[in-house]
Amino acid sequence: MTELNHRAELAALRVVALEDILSTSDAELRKEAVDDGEDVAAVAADLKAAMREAAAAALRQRLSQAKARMTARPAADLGRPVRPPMEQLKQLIQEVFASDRSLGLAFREGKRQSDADWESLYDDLVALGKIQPASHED
Amino acid sequence: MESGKPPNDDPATDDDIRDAIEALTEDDALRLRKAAQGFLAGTEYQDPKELINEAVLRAMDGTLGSHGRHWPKQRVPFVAFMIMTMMSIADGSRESHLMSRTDRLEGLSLKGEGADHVLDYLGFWTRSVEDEALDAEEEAAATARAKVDADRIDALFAGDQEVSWLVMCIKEGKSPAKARELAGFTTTEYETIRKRLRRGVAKLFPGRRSA
Repeated sequence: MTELNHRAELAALRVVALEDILSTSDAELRKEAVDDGEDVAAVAADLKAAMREAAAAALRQRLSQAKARMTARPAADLGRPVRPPMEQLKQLIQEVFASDRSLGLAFREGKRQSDADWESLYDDLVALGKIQPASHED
Repeated sequence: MESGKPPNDDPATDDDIRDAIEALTEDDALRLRKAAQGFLAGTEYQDPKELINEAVLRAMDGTLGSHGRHWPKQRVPFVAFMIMTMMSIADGSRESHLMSRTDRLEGLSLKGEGADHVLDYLGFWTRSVEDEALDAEEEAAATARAKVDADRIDALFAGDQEVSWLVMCIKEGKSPAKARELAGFTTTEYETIRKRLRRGVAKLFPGRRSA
C-alpha cells in the first residue's frame, strides 16, 4: 500500500467511526465513558469550557486583526474618528456591548479601563463598524 | 438537493455558535468527544479537544461568509455540523472521499439524534479553501503520519481476526458493507466489530503529546 493510500485507509476508518458514532445511542456512549472510568459531567464541562474559550479566542483574534489593519494605515489615511466627551464615549461603548454579547466576551478580561483604554476601545469599535461616529457628532 | 451548493439558510452568527456551545448537553459533549477520538488517527492534532477547538474556530470563521465552515443552522443540528466539520478537518487532504462517504452512509440504520441531518448535509458539503491549500511540506507530513498511525492500528488488532478482516477490506478499497457481506457477518456481528474498531482506535490515540 502506498503512503497516499494510508491516508485513504484512515479516511475510510473515519467513516466507519462516524457510522458507529451515529448508530450509538446517548445511553450507550455514556456507558462506554463510565466503563472507561470517565466522569461524564467533568468531561462535558471541560469540553464546553474549551469550546467557549476557542470561540472567544476567534473573536479576540478578529478584533486584533481589525486593530492591526487600522494601525497599519498611514496616519493621514487613518481617519481616526472624532471622539465624543468621555462620559458619552463610555455610554456609547456600553450600549454597543449591551447589544452585542460577542464583544463583551472578547473584552471580558478588561474589567477596569483607563480613559486611554476607553478611547482605544472606542476607536476599535468604530473601526469594526459597531459605532458610527456620525451617531454622536452634531 | 443540488450537490455542492448549500441552501440559502439563515447564516449562523457568532452568537448562534456561542449559544449552541452553551446549549450542549453532557450527552452532546460526550458524542463530540467520541467522534473526535475516532477521527484523530493520522491528523496533526495532539488531543481530541484540539480537533474540536479547531472545528469551533472554523465555524466562527464561517460566520464571516468567505472563510471557514458555514453552519446552516436551520437545517443541521450543531452537533451534526461539528462532527462533519471535524471529519473534514481530519481528512484535510486533497483526495476527497465525500462521494464514497455519501454512498456508504446512505441506507445506514441510524440511531443517533441528528443523523439524518448529517446525511442531508453531506449532499452539499464542499471542500474549503483551507482544505485545498495544503502545501507540499504539509502533504509529506500528513502521509508520513498516516503510515505510522495505520501501522499502529494494524498492530493493535493483530490478534483480532474480525477487526483485522474489516481493516484489510478497507485497505483494499472495499466498503464496510462489502466486507461484512464477504465475511458473512450478521448485522449485529458487524456492529460489534465496528464498535471494537472505533473504541480500539480511540484508546490508541487518546492524545499524542509526550510527557
